[in-house]
Amino acid sequence: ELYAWFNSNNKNKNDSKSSASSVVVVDKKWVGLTHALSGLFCGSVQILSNAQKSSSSRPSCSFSSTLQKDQSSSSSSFTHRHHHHLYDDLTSEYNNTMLRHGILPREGACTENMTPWTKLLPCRGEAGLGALLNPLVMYDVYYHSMGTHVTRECIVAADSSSLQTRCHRYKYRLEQTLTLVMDIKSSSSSSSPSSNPLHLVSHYGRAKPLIRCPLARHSHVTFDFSTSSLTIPASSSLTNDTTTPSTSQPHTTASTYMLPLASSGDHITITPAHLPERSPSFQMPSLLVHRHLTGYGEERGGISARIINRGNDTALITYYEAIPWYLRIYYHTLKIYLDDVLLHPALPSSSSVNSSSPSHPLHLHFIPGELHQSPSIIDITLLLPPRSGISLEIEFEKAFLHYSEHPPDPNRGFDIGPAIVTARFGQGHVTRIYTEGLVVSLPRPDFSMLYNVITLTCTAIALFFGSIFNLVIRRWKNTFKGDSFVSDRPIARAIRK
Amino acid sequence: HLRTIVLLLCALLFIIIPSYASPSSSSSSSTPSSSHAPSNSTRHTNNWAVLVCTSRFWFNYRHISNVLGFYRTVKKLGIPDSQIIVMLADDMACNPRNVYPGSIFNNENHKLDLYGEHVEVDYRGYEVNVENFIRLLTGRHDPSVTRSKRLLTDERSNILVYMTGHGGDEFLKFQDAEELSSHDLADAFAQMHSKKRYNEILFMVDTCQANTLYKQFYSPNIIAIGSSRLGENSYSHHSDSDLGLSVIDRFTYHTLEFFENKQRNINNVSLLQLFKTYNYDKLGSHAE
Repeated sequence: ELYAWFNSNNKNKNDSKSSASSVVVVDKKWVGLTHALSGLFCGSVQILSNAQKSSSSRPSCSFSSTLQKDQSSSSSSFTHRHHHHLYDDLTSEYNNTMLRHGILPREGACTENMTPWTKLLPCRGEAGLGALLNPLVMYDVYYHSMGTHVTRECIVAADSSSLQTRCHRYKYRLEQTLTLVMDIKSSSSSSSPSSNPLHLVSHYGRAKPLIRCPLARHSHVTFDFSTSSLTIPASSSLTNDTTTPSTSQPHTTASTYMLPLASSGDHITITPAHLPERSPSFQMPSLLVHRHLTGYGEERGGISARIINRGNDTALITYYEAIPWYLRIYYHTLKIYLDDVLLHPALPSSSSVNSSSPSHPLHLHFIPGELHQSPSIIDITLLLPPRSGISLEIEFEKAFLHYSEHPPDPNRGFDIGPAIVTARFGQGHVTRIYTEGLVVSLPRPDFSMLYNVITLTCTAIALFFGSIFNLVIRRWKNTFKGDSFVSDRPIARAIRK
Repeated sequence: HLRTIVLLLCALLFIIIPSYASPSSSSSSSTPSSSHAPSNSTRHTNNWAVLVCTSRFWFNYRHISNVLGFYRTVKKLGIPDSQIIVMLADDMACNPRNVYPGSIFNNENHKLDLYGEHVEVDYRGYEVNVENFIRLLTGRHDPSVTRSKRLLTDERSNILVYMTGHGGDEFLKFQDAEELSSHDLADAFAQMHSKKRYNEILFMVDTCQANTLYKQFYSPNIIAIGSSRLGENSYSHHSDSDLGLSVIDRFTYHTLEFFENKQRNINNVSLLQLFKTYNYDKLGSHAE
C-alpha cells in the first residue's frame, strides 16, 4: 500500500491555481514516486501509476493529514503487508487532489523487500533492531507487516506575512514499523512451560547478539506484558528499567529497557510468572471488520462488508474501498443496514424522522470507475453506536477483458484490494483496519484458441485453394476431338454441361 | 567518361565484396576468451550481470534457483549488487507452497540458502516480460524508470547475460504467455553494439534446445553457451523430496560447481576449461 500527499504548486506562473493542472502535476509526481519506490524497495509499486491498470485513487476522508496517533491493525491472518506513507503536516487547506493512494493486492513481500528496509536502519543489520531480523523467521509467521512512514515537520514557522511558504525550515522524519504475529508455542518443544524460558535472541534465530546501536540516540526495547503473565528475570543484561504506558491495553504499563552496549553473552529470556491457564483470557478487539464476495457465476456478483462495534463508545467510521474497473459497480444497489435496519437507501417515510439520528450515514461519496482507466471508489462515513453492527452490500457486473489484459496466470483470478476502515473512538484513539482481500474470477477466453483458430483457418484456406486450383488447372489427359482441342479440365467440363 | 564510371564501380565492388565475405566474428561457441585478451584487455573496466528467470509457477522452482545460484556466484566473484540485474518471474521463497519459507535451495542437502538476507531483485513477478527485457538491454526506458532497473553499461563493460526457463527452437518462453525469439535477441544485441553498450557479452542459456537461441547473433564480441542442441532437452539435476520438485538443472549445476572449485584460482580460468567440464554423460545434452 502506498499513499502520499503532494505539493501541487505549479511553478508555472500562469495557472498555479487551476485544479486541472494541479491534478496533472500531482499525477506526474505520483508516477515518479511509484517508480522510485519500486526501485528502492524491490517491489512492483510502479504498477500503481500505470495508466492501463490504474488502481490509484484519492480517498477523501480516510487519510487525514492531521492524524497524530495512528495505529494500524488488520483482522485477517496470513497476510504480508508493506506500506509506505508520506505526508506534509502543513497542507492546511486539505485538498484531496493532493493525496494519492494505491494498493497492490497481488504483491507478496519477501526478503528482497526486507533488505532495503533493513538498510534504512541506522545500524543496518548489525545491531539494534536489525540484529533481530531473520528472514527465515520473519516470513514464517501468521501476520507480517512492514511500513515506512516519511513525514515532514516544520521547525521554524514563517511569519504570517509570507504567502509562498509557510515554513522556513523543515525536518524530515522517517518512521519504520514492523509487525509480526508468530506462534511461539509451535517452535518450542518443552513440556513444562516454566522451565522453558523464551530466549529472545535465539528465538529469532540469529547468532548476532542484541546490543545497542551506537549510531542511534536511543536503543530501547519495550516489553508489553499487560495481556499475559510473562516477565523478564531481573538478572538479565538489560538495564534502566522504566515504565511507559502500554499502547495495546489502555491503563496498563509496559516496561522499557535500554539495550546493553556490548553483549554479555547471556540470552535475554522471557519467563512466565506462573503456569498459563488452559485458554488465556483474550479480549476481543473493540472493532471487527469482515468483507466477502457474494453471488456466483462469471457475469455478476456482489461485495458485502460488516463492521461490528463491540465497544461502549460510539465510533466514527470511514469505510473506503477502491474497486478495480473490471468490476462495474452499480451504486444504486448499495444497501447499508444497521442491525438489520435499512439505513440506505433511506425509506421516504422515515427520512424526516431519522435525518437527525446518529446512525444515518454522514457522508456518502461514490466515484464511478472508468473502463480501463480508474477504479470505482466508495467512501462512506457514518457513526456506529456502541454494541451494534453495520453491513454494507453492493452489486457489480464483471467486465470483459481484452485478451491481452489478462495476467500471465489468468486462472488464478484477479485480486481485489482490501477496504480500509478508519475508526475514531471518543477521544483520540484512532484505528485503521484493512479487510480481507478478495479474489474474483473474471470470464476468461480459452487462451489456446488463438493457435486453434490459426490452424483451422490455414487448413480451411489450404483445402479451399487446393480444390479450386484442381478444378481450374488440373488436366488428366489431353483430349482432342477432331482438329480442335477440347479441354479436360474439370471446370471446363462443368461449363460445357 | 564511361570508362571512369566503370572503373569507379569496379573499385566500389572490390571494396564492398570483401566486407560481406569476411565471416562475422560473433557467436563462436568454443573459443576461449583469452584469445581476445591482447586487444581488449585494456578496454574492459567493469562487469555487469543480467540474470533472468522467465518461468512462473511453483513447479518451475528450479529456474529460480538456477538464477539465484548464479546470483550468488556472481556476487561472490566480485560484481556488486548495483551492477547485477535480477529478474525473477515468480516468488518462490515466500510462496505459500514452500515448506521452508524465506529460503531457496539448489541442492537436496540444503546446505546453501540462496535467498539469504541480502538479495535484491530488480524485476519481479509480472514485470518480467519480453518488453521490459528488451528495454533493459537496449536502454530504451520510460524516463521515470529508476536507475536500479537500468543497465547502465558503457563500451567497456563485460556483461554476463544468463537466461533460464522453458524454450524451444529459436524461442524462449516468458511467463507462459509470450515468447522471445532469437531474432529479437540478436537485434537487441546489435542495438547494444551500435550504442556501444558493451565490450564483450557472455550469453548463457539453460533451456531445452538452447543452442538455437543464439543462432541469429550477428554482432561481434559475443560468446554464447547453450545447454542443449536443437531437438535435445535440458535435464534437471536432482529433485528434493522435502520440497517435492527438482531444485536445479544440470547445466547450471555443473557450471556453478566449476566456479566453486575454481574459486582460488579465478584469475587464470578460461572458458575453454569450463567447456572441458561439460560432457554428454553428465548433462544428457550437448552444451555448445
